[in-house]
Amino acid sequence: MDALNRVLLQIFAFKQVSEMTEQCSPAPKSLTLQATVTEGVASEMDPVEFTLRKRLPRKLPKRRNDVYVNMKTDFRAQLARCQKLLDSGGQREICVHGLGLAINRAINIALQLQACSQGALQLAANTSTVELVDDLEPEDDEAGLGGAEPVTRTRNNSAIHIKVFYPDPQ
Amino acid sequence: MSGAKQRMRSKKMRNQPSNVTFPAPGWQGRGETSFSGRRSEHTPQMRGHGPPSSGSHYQSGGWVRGHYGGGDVKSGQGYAQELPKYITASTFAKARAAEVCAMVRAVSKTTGSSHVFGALPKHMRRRAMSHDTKRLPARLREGAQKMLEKSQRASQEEKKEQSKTKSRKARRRHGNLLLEFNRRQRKNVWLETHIWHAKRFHMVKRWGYCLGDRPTYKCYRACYRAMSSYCLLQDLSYYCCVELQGPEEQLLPALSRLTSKEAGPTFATALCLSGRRQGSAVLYRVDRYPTQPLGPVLFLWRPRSEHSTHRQLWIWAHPTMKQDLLPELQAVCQCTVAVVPPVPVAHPAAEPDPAPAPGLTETAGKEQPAGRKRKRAGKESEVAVPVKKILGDGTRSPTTPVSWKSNSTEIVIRDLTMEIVRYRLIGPLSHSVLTDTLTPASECEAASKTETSCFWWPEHCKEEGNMSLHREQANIFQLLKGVFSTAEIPAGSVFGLTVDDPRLTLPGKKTKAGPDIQQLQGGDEDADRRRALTLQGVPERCCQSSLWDESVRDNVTTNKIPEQELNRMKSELLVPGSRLCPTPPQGRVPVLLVQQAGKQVGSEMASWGAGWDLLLPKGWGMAFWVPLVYRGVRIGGLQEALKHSQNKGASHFPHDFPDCPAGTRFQQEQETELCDAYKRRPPAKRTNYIKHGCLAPFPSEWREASAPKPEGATSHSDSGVSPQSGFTVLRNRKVLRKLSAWCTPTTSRGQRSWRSAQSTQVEQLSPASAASVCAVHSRTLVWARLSLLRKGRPTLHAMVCVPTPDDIKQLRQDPAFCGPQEPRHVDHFKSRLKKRKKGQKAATSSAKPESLPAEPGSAPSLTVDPEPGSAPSLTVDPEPGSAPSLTVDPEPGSAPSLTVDPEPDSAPSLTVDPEPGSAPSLTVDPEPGSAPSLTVDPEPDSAPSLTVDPEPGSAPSLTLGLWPDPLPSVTSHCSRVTLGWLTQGDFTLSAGCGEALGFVSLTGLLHMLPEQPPDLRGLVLLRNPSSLQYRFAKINIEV
Repeated sequence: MDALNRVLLQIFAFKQVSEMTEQCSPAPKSLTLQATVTEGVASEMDPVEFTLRKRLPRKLPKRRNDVYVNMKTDFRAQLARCQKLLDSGGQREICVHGLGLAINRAINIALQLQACSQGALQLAANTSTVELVDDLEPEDDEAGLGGAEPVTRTRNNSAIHIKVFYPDPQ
Repeated sequence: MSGAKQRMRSKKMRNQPSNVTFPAPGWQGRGETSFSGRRSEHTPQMRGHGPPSSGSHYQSGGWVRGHYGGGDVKSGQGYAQELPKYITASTFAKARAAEVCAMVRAVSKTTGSSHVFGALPKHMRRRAMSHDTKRLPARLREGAQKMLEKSQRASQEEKKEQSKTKSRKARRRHGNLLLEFNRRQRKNVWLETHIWHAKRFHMVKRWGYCLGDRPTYKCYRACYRAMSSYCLLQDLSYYCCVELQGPEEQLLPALSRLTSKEAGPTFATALCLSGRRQGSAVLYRVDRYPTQPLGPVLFLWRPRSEHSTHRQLWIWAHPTMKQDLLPELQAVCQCTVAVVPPVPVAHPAAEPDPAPAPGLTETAGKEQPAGRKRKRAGKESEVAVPVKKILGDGTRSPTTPVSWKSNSTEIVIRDLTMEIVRYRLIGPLSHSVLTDTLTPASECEAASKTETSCFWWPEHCKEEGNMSLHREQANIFQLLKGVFSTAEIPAGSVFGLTVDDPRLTLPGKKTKAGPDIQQLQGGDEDADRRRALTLQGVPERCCQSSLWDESVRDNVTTNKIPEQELNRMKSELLVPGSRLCPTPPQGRVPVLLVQQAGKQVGSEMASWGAGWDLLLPKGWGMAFWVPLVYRGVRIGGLQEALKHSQNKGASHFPHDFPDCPAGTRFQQEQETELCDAYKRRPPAKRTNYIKHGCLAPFPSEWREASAPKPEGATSHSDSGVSPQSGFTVLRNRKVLRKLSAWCTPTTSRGQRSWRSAQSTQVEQLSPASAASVCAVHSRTLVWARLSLLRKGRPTLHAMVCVPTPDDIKQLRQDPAFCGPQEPRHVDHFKSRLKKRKKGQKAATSSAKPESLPAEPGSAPSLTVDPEPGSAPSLTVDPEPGSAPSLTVDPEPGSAPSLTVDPEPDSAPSLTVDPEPGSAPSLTVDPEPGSAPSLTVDPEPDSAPSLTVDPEPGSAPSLTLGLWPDPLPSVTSHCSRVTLGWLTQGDFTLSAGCGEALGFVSLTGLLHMLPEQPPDLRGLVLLRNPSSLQYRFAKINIEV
């Protein structure tokens, strides 16, 4: 199991690095993101300021055995929730999903579940890429007055989907 | 003697001649002096334990006779022995006759509320006696029977008088019912969904409308769930729409005088101007940017048409704001010429079924006379003029101008209030509900394209351009099915569409809409188009809708198939329950869909509460409402809308805009409402706000809060502040952003948040930078969101206070530290109130001597200053002053009551009131009044002495628990300096902790922030008005 963990982590380390480099290159350089300027220095800075608003990642309909892991809820609570689904929730398999920063945590949860089951549970991991949308709203967007159009750009983030299941008795 | 007994006794005594007195039966003691005060000397002669002396023959009858001819009442004790030598028969008989008369009257007449079984002792009364006379003792039965019959007869007569002339059946007949409804909506406008709401909601009359406040069933949590996972529907038709028409180059400069770029996007925002997005802005009076705001509006530009620069703009405003907004708009557009509305003529549209047409063509008040005429004309002329249902604004008279044009410019302003129905769907699946409910209009058959039609759709179909646009729109609408969450669509997107009558596809049962899974996975082509939709939004072409055309709106409203007709057509179908086919030509409605952004500020719960607004032509409200309800949505009222904006962290219009005229009016209304509710409670069950140190629990004293703190309280009347509202709310986004960065702790969990790190690089928080901001924006409030760190539920008008360094130190030592406590304040108005009450009692009922000495005793305690800090100035001044009154007092037993202070704990801190003028008035005033009153007659003299207050500051309207009018300084009244107040507060289900929205004074905030440690910056204390407990909260200023 440690081996799996290591492999997964390596995959993700690589993927993240590659995405970061990929993201950095096409980023428009003229944007001064979120540069809040005081009245005094406003003239020297780039006149166009943007506010960044991140949209939520696209969601798929959720089944009862889907668990989306986040970084706000307590780790133990999320683990207990998965454990409960497997033990008394009547689920033979659950899917643990993690996106971005929560990938580590999703892996952690899956491994913990397996370790606690004394070998009864098996894991199957899948990775994917999720497209995220950012809105850049210009501060000064009046038409014809040198304002800028609002920009919408996409970036990619990694996601993992781990299936935790009891193997069929054969 | 118990109060009830005493009251009954005094009631009995009411009709007695003044010379007759009864001793209280079976009562031992001196209590009866209250009702026979003049004869209190006779107390020892009570039956049973009085001395068996000369008066026994009077006592046997329980009587003490008053008059014995001449001067027998020489001394109180001796008169019984001195029997008269003779009596004059005539006078004696006369006197006795009066007594007998009184007796007979008392016996025969039953007083007001006393029933027959009032004669029974309490332990023998039973509830069932009131309707079953057999339960009474036999001797009382007859009387009770009589009473019962009498009361029944009376109630029957009353009922007969009250009953309407018409039978219920007649009243419920359609025409009469409509008449009644029309009469009832003359004062307050009814929305089209009024009847539906009135059956299910608590209705309130507000802002000239009858609106649903909250459902009658329990649904607080269910509505929250609907908003966060499914869909909540609200009727927003009461929002007023003002239409501006004119060339763009004239409109934009005019409108720019109402807004400011500093406060956010304006009317000229590029995306909004193209008509692809709905915008929002805070409007100000003409050229009065920071000081005189009007309120927030939503606005929508009609997309440009190819061949003209003529633009159309809809401004949606809250009804309370409309009266302020319209004059301003007229002023900037120079539209002063009111266009007289055309004489109402029946629409020329000749429909195949003329029955509904006249009923629907006309609006508002002009059917009122028609209805009345019919009533007068008589019942047999049933066909003459059918009563018309009011559509639109029923309170407006038909001659009121609704549009204004200008002589110099080409701008025309039109008031479209109640012309357009607006429904708001809130929730991530609201687009699924819409796609389920609405179907894009089916196209006309080729055959009908040649002949002319009075309906708009066939005519519309004739142009190929319109049809291709319609097909494009229908395709995009289909794409929406594959979108999982409403938040995926760009915020504020506008989407025009023409749909079939939704009543045709009404499901037989309530269903629940969900995203189409097939579509979700869908083909590559679909996925690409959907991606384009979520990224770029609806293309500009598709934002066009026929709803903008007045003629189309009127046509659609006029030619709506009535419910009855539709049902008839459905019943004639071969297969019951199948869809009506082909769709009748009237059944096409142009609609506009507008996406509403969800939570945009803050980091957590992003885009919570996003949804769609559905705009319809008037008259079609119920036709869309019921199908929407059949999709399983929850319905919310005003309360749910308030919760929605609170969870969203957005400001809600009249509540969170105290600097706008409408907001001020709202605050005043709310204040009187709350104050009345407070006064309705029994005094013993009220919160004593004085003791809690809450000076103003209902009115939020914004004025005071925004005033500079004592250190900088030099320029109170500085320039730039309008006279009627001494404060403004900060809406300058740059400054707000700076404040937002300053309020965030710089190191939270060891890592800087990206946002604050970026902005603090620009300017660090320092006393100097704070002062520079403060100098520019004096007397300003900042709207902020506060979230509690630990437990606690903030309520309305809770105080926001500055924590002392000690508090912060304690919090650092013990993270579980709840917060400091406010020491209990002393209410020194309470005793004065008591005194006055007593005085009134004494003045009304026969005053008794015992009641008087209490007053001088309590008087000194009134002026006691409760602050322990003033203890050194402790004097015993009041005591010697009141001592002389003691000597005058005839009863020595009451002397201790003087020296004993009513409030023992305040006794040690007894000081003279700081005001020098009040001290002498205290010692002198009450005594001369009460001293003579004891010797002569207590009644006339003591009353004025009681109403004269020893302190000059007390207002005549003292309410227990509320601080009387001249309030001391609000900011420094409590142990923590007050920063501001809350306008909304509750436990938030989305965050799992108490959250509140409120205002803090910018000056106070900028004083507080630099002194706080950087990692705990932005911590404040919250205290509810009815509690002494302060609780820590985090202040978030979000842009």
